[in-house]
Amino acid sequence: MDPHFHRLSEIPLPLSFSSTYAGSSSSSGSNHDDPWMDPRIWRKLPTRILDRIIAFLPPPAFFRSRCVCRRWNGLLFTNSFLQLFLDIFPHRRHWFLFCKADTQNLIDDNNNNRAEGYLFDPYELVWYRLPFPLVPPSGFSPAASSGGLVCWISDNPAPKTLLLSNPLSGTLNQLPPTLTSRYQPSIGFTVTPTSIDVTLAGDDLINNALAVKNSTAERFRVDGTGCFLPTWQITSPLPRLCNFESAGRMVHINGRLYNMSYHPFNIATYDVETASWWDIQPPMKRFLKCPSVVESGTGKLLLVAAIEKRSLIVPKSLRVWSLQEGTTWVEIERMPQLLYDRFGEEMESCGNGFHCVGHGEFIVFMIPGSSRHLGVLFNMNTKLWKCMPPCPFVGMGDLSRGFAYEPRLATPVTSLLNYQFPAAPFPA
Amino acid sequence: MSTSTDNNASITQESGPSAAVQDIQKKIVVRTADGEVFNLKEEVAMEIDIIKTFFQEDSISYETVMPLPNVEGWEMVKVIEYCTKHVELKHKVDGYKERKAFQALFVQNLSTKSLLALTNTANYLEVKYLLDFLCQAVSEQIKNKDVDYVRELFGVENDFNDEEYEQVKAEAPWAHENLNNDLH
Repeated sequence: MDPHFHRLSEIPLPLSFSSTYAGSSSSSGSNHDDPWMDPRIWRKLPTRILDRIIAFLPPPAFFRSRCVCRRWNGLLFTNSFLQLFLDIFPHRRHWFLFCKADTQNLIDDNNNNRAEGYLFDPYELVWYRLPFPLVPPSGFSPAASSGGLVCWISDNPAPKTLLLSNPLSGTLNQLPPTLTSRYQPSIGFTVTPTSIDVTLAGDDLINNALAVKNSTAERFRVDGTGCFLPTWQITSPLPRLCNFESAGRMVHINGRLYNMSYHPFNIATYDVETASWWDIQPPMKRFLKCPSVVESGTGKLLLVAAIEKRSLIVPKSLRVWSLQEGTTWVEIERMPQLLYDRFGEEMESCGNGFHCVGHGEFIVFMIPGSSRHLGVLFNMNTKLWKCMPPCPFVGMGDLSRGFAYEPRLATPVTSLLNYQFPAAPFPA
Repeated sequence: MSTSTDNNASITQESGPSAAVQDIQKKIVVRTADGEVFNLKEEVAMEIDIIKTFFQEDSISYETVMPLPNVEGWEMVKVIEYCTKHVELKHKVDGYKERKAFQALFVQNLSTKSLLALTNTANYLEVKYLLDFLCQAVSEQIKNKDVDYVRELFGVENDFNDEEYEQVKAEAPWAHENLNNDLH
């Protein structure tokens, strides 16, 4: 039997509703009069319910809870616990992950060479330093994140090798090399519990690697249906006048990828299934500065940009638009003027514009190259703009553009890759 | 008691006596462990799977008072409160803020011990969304607590020796770094 199909049956599927409910009592018992040890309470709390509570812990608390006892320590490797964790999957955490902008400089405090990222929890406003086990400290750069996996892409201008890493479970999987040699292609990366879908666009090396041109897009997909071969396919030529930034991030919404194109500003839109491209005009095109497309929890594409209207006496501002009905933009938010006065001023003095990344209800704004800690967090649900606490590990101005990262203890979908491309440590 | 024709007349009048309207809505009666009796509106009662199964699937008459020997009166009050709100919000298009505000108030005066008892009850009564909410609420309360607190709360014994404990801690040093948060 094809080992591929055998593997598929190992992917834990969400439990059916009835199995959520545990039977009665856990077995641990003791009878002292300690007020915490009310026998009626904890003696009745079934193990499965306790595990459910643990599964809801945010990642740092979960990893601390592993120190409680041996059983809790082992939960991370227990199928029934991981199934429970996947069962509560709809409970999303909209965190962010940043790396150092200069990825050559990956020597940490102990003079160890290792790949690491900086995790930001926008709910608690806390930073964590997160190592990436197995990812080689050089030769690869972080490119995208989805469904708990972080995608690293090889730096060499050659056929690209992609590594998918889950920093919490410590797994690493490798994709086959791309068909085309590329320099710094734009990437669209979408991971669901049952599929991995990657599209690379542009930066094709042509003329024996002497020139770079935006020629083609290619796609890799694995899912449980068996409709896709686990190899790259060139899917389409790129539109003639597209001009993507290096290592651009394509935003995925409902089967479409959106990528910012420059000179002139345009949003290149790609329908993955039909492999067709078209353009969407941004609003206020002539006055935009540093536009970027951003995903959001609303399911609509957002455009974030600064407005600099030099010809009119209109205050400079930072605005957020939402794409309605495919072509109409509606302005939904503006950074409060006082905040933008500071932000815009720092932006001018650093001269590198600003970075922006969205995840769920949050949008993060940062100024690359800035020595002041001006990171801004916007919550679309509460409409609050906050200053982010500075990253204790690296200056905010030295951080790369962030990724929308969802911490997940397990990403069983990677088993779809195992049978052909076993996870092996990449030779350093 | 009003006859059925009287009830129909109440429906068509614009301002009928509220008691008559309540007669039309079916009520389900349960009795908790401490002898308290609760009248639930049918739509709320059907949110509680154990009740739904008892009356609908086993076709027991609504006249029967269902015993809930594992549930305390105060717990039933809370469960009814949550399910009633849940049913109310089902019909609203954008109830996000309202739900969040309600949830915050719901757990506000509950000790962790009471939360645990309520969680157990939600499991017994089989109300999945309430169970999930309560498990999440408990995990929120304990997420920044130290290891000893958690052990005491759940009655778990530490079966690590010092060396093993340090080893487990060292596997995820990033989780134990507390440079700018309030771990205690």
